[in-house]
Amino acid sequence: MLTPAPAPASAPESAPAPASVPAPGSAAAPVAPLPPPGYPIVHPLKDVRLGEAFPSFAAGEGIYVQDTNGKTYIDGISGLWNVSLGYRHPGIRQAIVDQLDRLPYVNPVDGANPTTLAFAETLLRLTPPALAKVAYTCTGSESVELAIKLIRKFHQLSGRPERTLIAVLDKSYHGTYYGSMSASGIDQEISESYGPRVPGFRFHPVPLGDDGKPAVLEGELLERRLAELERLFEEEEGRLGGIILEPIIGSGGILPLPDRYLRRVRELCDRSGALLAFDEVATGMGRTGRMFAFEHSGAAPDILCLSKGINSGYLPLGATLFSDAIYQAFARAGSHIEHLSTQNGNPIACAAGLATVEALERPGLLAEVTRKGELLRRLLEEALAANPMFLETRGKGLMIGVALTSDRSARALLDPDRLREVVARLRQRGLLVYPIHTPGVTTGFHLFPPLIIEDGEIRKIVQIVARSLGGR
Amino acid sequence: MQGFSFGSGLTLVHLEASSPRLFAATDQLDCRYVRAYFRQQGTPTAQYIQASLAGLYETAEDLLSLGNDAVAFHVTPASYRLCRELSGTLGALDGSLRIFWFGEWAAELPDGSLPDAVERLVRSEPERVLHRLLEPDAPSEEADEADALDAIAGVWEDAASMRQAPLLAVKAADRLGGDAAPGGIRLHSPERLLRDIRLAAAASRQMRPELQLLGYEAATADEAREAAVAEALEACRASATWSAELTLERWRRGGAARLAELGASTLTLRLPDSLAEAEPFLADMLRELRIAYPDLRLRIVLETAPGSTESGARRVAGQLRQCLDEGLLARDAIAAAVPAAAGAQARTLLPSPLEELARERFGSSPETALVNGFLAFMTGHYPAHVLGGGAKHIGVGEDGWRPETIRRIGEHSALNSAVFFEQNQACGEENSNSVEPPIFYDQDGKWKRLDRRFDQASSEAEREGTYLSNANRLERLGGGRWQLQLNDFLLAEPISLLRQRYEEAAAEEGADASADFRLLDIRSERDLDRFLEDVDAFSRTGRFAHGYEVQSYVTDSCRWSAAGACSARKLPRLFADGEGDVAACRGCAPIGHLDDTPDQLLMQAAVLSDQEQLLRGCASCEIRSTCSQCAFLPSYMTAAQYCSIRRKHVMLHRYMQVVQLVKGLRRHTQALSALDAETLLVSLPTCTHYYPLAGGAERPSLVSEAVFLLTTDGTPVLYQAVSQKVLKLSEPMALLLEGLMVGATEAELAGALQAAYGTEPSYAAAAVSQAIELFSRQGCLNLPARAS
Repeated sequence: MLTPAPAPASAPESAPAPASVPAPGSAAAPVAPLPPPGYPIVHPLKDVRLGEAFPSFAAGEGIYVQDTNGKTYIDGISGLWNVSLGYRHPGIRQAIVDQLDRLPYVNPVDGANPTTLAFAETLLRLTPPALAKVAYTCTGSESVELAIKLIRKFHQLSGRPERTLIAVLDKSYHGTYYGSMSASGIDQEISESYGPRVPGFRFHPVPLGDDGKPAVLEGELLERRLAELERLFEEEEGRLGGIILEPIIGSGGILPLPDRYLRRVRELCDRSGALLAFDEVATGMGRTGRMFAFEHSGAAPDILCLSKGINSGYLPLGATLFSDAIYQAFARAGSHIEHLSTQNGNPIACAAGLATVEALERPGLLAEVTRKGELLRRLLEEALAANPMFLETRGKGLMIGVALTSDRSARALLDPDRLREVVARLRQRGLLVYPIHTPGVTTGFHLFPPLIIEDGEIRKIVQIVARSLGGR
Repeated sequence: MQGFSFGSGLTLVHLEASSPRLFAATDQLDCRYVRAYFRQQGTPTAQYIQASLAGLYETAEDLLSLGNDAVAFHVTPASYRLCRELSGTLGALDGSLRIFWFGEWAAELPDGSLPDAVERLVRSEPERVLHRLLEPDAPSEEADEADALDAIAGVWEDAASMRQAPLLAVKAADRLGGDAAPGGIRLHSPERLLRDIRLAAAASRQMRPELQLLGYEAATADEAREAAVAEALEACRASATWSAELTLERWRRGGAARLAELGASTLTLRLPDSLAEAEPFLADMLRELRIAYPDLRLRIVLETAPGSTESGARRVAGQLRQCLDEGLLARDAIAAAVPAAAGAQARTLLPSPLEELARERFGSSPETALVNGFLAFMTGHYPAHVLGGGAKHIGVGEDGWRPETIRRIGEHSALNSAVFFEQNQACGEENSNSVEPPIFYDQDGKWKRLDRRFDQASSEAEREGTYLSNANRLERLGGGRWQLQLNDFLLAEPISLLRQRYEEAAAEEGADASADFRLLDIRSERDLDRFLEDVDAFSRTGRFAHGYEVQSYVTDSCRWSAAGACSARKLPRLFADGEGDVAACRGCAPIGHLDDTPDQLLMQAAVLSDQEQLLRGCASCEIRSTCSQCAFLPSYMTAAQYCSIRRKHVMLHRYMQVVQLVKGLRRHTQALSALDAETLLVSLPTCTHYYPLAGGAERPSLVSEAVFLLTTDGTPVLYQAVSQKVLKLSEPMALLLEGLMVGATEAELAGALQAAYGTEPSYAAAAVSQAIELFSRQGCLNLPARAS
């Protein structure tokens, strides 16, 4: 007999089984047991069940971090590509302490602060004159989020409301907020289940070789990629509001866009009235050997998205710089920018930013970044030349990708499990790296060491990589 | 500035045996004392922590990568052999590395037992001596003699602030005081002991954890001190219970009763292996305690008595026999001390009366971890978290253990690996000898029986420089009967195996199949046909037609299991033949040679696996989410046949899952420990027991693969594999879950409820909605949108 309607809800009797009951395996249904309730946080972008397996870091100095067991690691990725001047930088630390003692917070809607203003002026001084204003954010995702808004609102205010389409590259990564996630080509599959995504993005193929793998883009190959770019602008004429690019595709596998490619984008934007935004969250603030990566090509943006190294990652801070034309569009309409996070432009974070720029502007520092990057790549290439797993290095300055393969002649990608093992082994051997896994394109790992790294430390990195990848 | 860099400081290593011969690098109390002291002096240290140890070379590389100038091994009886091997490997890799040994047991080691690579055995005051060795110019401090250990501060506080793994041990005293301390004993004050107990208990995050009270007897040598420590223990009895060791003399003087009164939960008596006539009767003492404290666990550690006599040993044997007979002691509660003075060859032999008792009554049940390893080796099912870091098990045929292969096997195995020898016992003539081999106890912490073949394998491995962690033998006794010998362990009962071809098992249904484990081999098409017949019968009826299906283990069943079950590309198993060729799976073609590096073999396994799966089109196959995509097939089957079988028998993966689940539920749950496989009903998309299954177009199941619906003794039971919850269901709920399993719509579900129970339509619809919501909440469904 069926019990009355409430019965189903009350019928089950719960009896938790002991944790040791084996869980039958199935890819369709992940069956690893749930974690013990003791681990209090979930880690971003990781299976929520993972917890205690992550090392817990307690201290850091220079390019090193130390876990709670006292094990020291070379931080080969500068935190998450942000701690560009290393840990316990005395200048940054002092600037933070001084600002903390003076005033830790100012309401960014209705107030300003000498430090906040000074840092904005500094950023504008570092960038081409076309960039006229700074809007603070807290993160790189947020900087891109704001860029998307600026592109669309600019065209609204300029009487071109139909220009809502934004072009991005299909292997790009721009963040995980709704807009920036929707604009990230590399995460389209993952973000699908969080849908509906923010609409209005066109994913243009990242320029690669004809086999879909990274290649030296020059000559006829480059011409074809430029032609594809031109077709994009032609096809979307009248609809295209802007294009957002990373000058070097970062998460997608360290794929530098050729200078000519960037200059052509600039020309096409000028010709079509579309805005050009560079996402320099990863590449900016000295990482590539210039203050900003676009400087290598000479193509300046209308919008520049910054974060990560903006204050050496010591406190959450980002900035979106934009052109006077955009500013004037808002000004003419008497409009405001509908964007705010409480901590945008926090004065302590900006003080850290000022100290960071001061360090980056020390004579010779950026030239050293270029030299050290070349040294690291050359030593890696020499040390790994005979290693069948090694394919190539790519990048600029100290933004380096080490591509690994399961078959060098076929440029086959490394199996994801194997890649995980390699990254774990490097970590075990005291070098923190970040995996590159761009399906169909490239596999390997990122190296973004702090810009203050010394030659001896570069050799140590190479030694760890060679010994870890070389087996016995 | 903190002065971080590679190349300064001390790395500490403690290798903890979670089970005999299975190690992890963990934290340890003596190591914490060293770290705390170094911190006081401003010298960096790192504790090497690694749950899953790779091979000898890899582990040594890991240790070097910590970058310190020196490594100090905390050496225990269990870790002695491994520390020796690791020290040697480290020394060979980096001659400039300074290696030290320390520890209370190791302090007694004879000088000659140290490997050449070890610079010094630190026999006393390890904290200060190690520091002085590293920093000879640092000012030396003299500790207060009375409570010398108190000078080392912050042992628990620093660990707590760093959220380090809890340690369930506190130190009342140790014997590392050296010549300066009376009797070599260093003490903590009772106040410090009280504080440490409280901090250790708090850090454990357990309610009244059992803490090992180290050095209790030494710390309470005089009455005043004993009273003060008792006061401290009394003050924190609400926080913790303790285990402690006492000599017979202290036990006899009421020390055991006093500790039991103070809340001890385990007491260990260090009992001489020979007793004079005048000694008190052991059974009386233990019985008295047992009556007063029924929950108290009692253990014995036999110690070699000076002037041991046969009659004295007979007396001990008689008393222990009585304790065992009366159930005052469990058979695995008797161990023996392993004196460090014996060094590498430390084997504690028993006087003959005790040996006789040991042969008859000692020994233990098989180590669960080692037996689980054996089952993984036979079935190919390895949990994901154990994969990587070297082969876990290496199968070697009778002709595969030769000097040229032994060294290479060491290169491929991890520190906790096992070599499995498959042998015909007819070869082992020495075991048929009528003279019983001696029983002994050694550093592994197990009673053992002298085993010439094990010893031979060990000495051959040692000669070739290979660390042989576990060497297990599968011995064929004839008639499908086998025996599993784990190392040279003396087990209470031998582990018996019945190993048959699948076809034979099917033909002999009902025959005596008594054995600890029954293994079924699929070695021919006929075996395979019989296996698939059983799978088909299960798919049609939701029942197991034969008892052996659940009682036994199908060898290499990973091949027939669900997606993700095949871990061959990570090479947890290697099978080596006499030529040194290695296969990734039993009975399959070689993928390389033992001379290849582990990385080369892994790469080769991945490449072959990828190629095979590419050729078969696994990535776009309609059953890719349920197929293990076995890439290493035995000779009796082609890839086309394998794919065809997997596509045809759609419930094959489910069958394997349910077999595994039933075994697990029987083993690990109280409520379902008596689960009867013969009357068990399993709900499947192909066979329902409550929901009327109509013919017609097949629809995808709406129920997660992690959900199992079983009916036992007429009661439907749901098992959710992710949350590991067992839920009893009402019949109507089971009907609805089955309906969802076959992809029924809400209207069809409501109709089925009406038809089965005469329910009003509106009532039925409401019940369906509630059920769907409930199942969704429990993570049972694949349809997040459907519940709305």
